[in-house]
Order: sequence, then structure tokens, then C-alpha cells
Amino acid sequence: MKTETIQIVDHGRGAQLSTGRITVQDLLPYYRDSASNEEIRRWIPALTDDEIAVLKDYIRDHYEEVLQTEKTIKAYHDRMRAAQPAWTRANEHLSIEERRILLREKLAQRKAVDNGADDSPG
Amino acid sequence: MALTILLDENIDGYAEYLSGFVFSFAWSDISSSLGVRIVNFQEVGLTKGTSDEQLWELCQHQRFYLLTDNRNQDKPASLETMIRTRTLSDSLPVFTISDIQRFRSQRDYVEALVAKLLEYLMDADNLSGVGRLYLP
Repeated sequence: MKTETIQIVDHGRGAQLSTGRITVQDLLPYYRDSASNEEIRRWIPALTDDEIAVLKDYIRDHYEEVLQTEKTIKAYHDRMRAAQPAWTRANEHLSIEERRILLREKLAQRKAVDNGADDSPG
Repeated sequence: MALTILLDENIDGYAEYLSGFVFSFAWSDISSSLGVRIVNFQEVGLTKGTSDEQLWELCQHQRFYLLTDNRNQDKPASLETMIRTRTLSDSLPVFTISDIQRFRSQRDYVEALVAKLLEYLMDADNLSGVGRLYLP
């Protein structure tokens, strides 16, 4: 039987498992929380104990580098999020309940239009 | 028509958790009317090791809205590069959870995320070609 050695590789998406697409950065929040393997698998079911061990070892051995990479990624996404068009933030000043009401009104309007279309003479 | 949300493999286990909010009493009339469906890797036949390129192509071909978090690096084979170089005027966006730790632990954050997700999906016809959209 062929057994695949689990390694940390970089195929162009950052440090990740050789056996799947889960990255070191994916595991970092759980590592920081000292989550058990069972807890980690609750959120990332694909991971085996061996894979989690390899990821944890890598984080432990390269901790400062991994944290620096996380900061760089976060800064990038913060910039990207801030640069999103204004319409993506249009309802953020409203409460969740107000947003829910607005969505229901839009749905009702859509249904009314659809019903109107259905009633139109053919 | 169903609006299918596919969870990336690194948040695969959140399908039930997210569904608990999206289809809760507070939101279910809206999400059901929109035809929202939340699926994970296994349910759509994806396996371990699927590349970002394969995932991107599948989502566009099957018209799935990919939901991921923000832990990708900006490297040549990354999802970010796919979004930047492959997005066409009719490409579906990729939804990105801004803070996975808050998503896992703060109810208010999840409610805001669901509100934003459903607002986007309400206008699904106008989301083509926009690339990445952050939640909340």
C-alpha cells in the first residue's frame, strides 16, 4: 500500500498541506485557541490527525513568520474591503431588523411584479 | 431558481452552523423565497486537493457562489489571482468572510453577515463581474 508523506508545500497559494488545500493560515486561528483536533475537525472535517500535527508543527517552528504572513494578508483584505464600491455598504447604517424589513419589502415588490406579469394578457 | 452557496474546504464544517442562521425563524422566509441552498465540498463531488483554479472553474460553470474566508495569499495560483485574472462580465462573485474568528464566536457578527449575504443575493442579477465581496 502506498502511503503519502504529509509535507508543507507552497504551490502558489502560500504554505499548505501537500495532501490537500488546507493552508497553514487556515489552521492558525484554531492553533491560537489551542483547539483540540476534534474541535478543529468540527470546522474543517477534511483534516486527519496526522495533517493537523504537521500543520501545528509548522506553525510552532515558524511562528513569527506565520504571524507576519497573517498580518500581511489581513492588511491586504482590509485595503480591498475599504476599496469596495459604496453600494456594498449602503445598508450598514441600518439595524439588522431594519435590513430585514427592507428585504421583505423588496421581496413583496418582486412578487407583485411577477404576479403582474402573470396577469398580463397573453 | 436556487442560489447555491458552496463553502470552501477550509470552512466546510460551518455549513450546518451557517444554515442555522440563514434558515432561522428570523430569516427563513427571505432565504427560502430567494431559493438559497448551502452546500459543502462533498455534496458537490469535490475532493481533497482541488486547486483554486479547478474550484473557480467549477463555481462559474455550475453557477455556485463560493463562500470562503480571507486567509488566501496573493500568489500566482491563489483564488485571489483567479478572481483578478479570470473574472468576466458574467462571472459570479466570491463571498469572503472578513473575520472567521468573530464569525465563529459572535452572534451579532453572524446576523450582520447573513443580512449582507441576503442583501447581495436579493440583487443577484447585478452581482456578475464584481469579483470578491466581503461579508459582512
